[in-house]
Amino acid sequence: MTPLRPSLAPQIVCLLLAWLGISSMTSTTLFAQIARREQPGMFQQYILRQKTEKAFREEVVSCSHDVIERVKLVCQLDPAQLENLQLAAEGDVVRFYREFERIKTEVKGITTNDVQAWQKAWPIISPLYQRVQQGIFDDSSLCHSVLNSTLNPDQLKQFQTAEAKRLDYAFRANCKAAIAELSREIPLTGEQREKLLSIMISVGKPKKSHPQLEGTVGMVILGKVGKRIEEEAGLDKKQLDHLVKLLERARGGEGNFEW
Amino acid sequence: MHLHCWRQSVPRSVPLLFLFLCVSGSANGQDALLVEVPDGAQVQKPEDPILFYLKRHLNVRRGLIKRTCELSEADIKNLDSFGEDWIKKELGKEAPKLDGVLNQGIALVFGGAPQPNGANDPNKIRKLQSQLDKKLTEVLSPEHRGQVLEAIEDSEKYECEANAQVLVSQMDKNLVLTQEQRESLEPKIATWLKGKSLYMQYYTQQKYLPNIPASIVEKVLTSDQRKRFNGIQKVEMDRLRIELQMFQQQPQMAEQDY
Repeated sequence: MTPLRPSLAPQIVCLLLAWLGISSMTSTTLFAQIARREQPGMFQQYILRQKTEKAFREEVVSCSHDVIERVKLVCQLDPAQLENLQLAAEGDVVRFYREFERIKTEVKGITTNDVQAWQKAWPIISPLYQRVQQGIFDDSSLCHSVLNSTLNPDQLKQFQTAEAKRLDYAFRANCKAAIAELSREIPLTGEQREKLLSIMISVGKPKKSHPQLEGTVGMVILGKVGKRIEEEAGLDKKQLDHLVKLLERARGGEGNFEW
Repeated sequence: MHLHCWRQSVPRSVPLLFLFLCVSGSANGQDALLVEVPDGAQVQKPEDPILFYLKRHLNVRRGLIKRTCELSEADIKNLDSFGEDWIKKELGKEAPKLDGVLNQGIALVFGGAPQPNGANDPNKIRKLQSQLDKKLTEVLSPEHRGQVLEAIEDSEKYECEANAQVLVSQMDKNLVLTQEQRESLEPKIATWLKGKSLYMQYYTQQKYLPNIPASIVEKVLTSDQRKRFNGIQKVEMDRLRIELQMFQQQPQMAEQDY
């Protein structure tokens, strides 16, 4: 007898096992099982982003510590100031969790399987979803307003300068990364890259953005300044033609940013 | 007796298995047709991924050469005539052997197709791209070759620096870095990124980092930051590998001759 080829043997075994598994069920039970397959809950999917509640809470608390760490990095805080900021950060966490628990109860048990229920629940869950996406400690947070009233003018200036540097660094990085991305498809000279970067930087960073989509800001800006690129970046017709096509592909992201 | 047992247990499962094969096969066909095409963008049907990436690389490199060096008409003609034949020859050398190579395992039963060995191997594409660079620059005069190699190096350095800055600002979100720390980390990570091609979108959307060795960053970080750095999940997302996985699902830009 010719022995089985070693490379095919595991596949034949898998095939037989699959066959045996299927043959042990009736078609009714098989399709019923497929239909009943559990989909993740709406809350789990959109708010917790597939994390456990414990891991999510740890992340929220860690963010609140980071806010204070950033202040401490540039300012000497006295105990009273520190306490004020900690209380404000805790207040934001408490306020967030009050909403979190309310909405969690309201959308309990709704899965993506139940399209009608999902559509009804979306307006309920959507504000919390936006809050999670934007970050809990943004400009509208209690922490942010307490920060402005707690720090003295010198400290506030130091903190604002440091924050501006940090955000500028991230913005410049994303613009440079977008140009590097373009260079994979359009042959750009060093001079053209520098001109493109200076045009993009001159637009300025967006006032509001979606933290998870910050990486796309470069492409969005390129789409905004098409005319200036044509006039100032020194790209020739072939390069411009291809750039237009590439930006067409990246169109639609502008809604995630506010200038 | 043997045959009798087989007949008793099998009839119910055979049509079911057949149904599975049909359903999985048709689903596959449907996926191939459902390619979203943005308005106005010129796209082409996905072809062989290796051929696509090599041709794109060739076009971009030729374009860079023409914009970096002052070439004569004869030089341009010479440059334009090189590349396609080389690619065909190289790909012909490694003609895929489909006979009996079933590298998709059980997926074959559910509509998978036999794939040639290494069909989606990003390292193979990278190797061919670097060979292509070498061959392409050999066509040029020594002076032009020097200029082009410098331009390629500059472009790669720019990309490493840009990606290093993106990764540092991602680290900053997790570790709360000072400006000095950011500036100190940037060149170290840029050096580490040399020769790597990461799928950066993944790192800007998730709180993950690539496998940056701790030895590169630990001197710059405080002990608390080091602990946090070690706690961040590290995932190596190879850009070309991801692009190859998405190749059939996404429309590809029409070929552009520079």
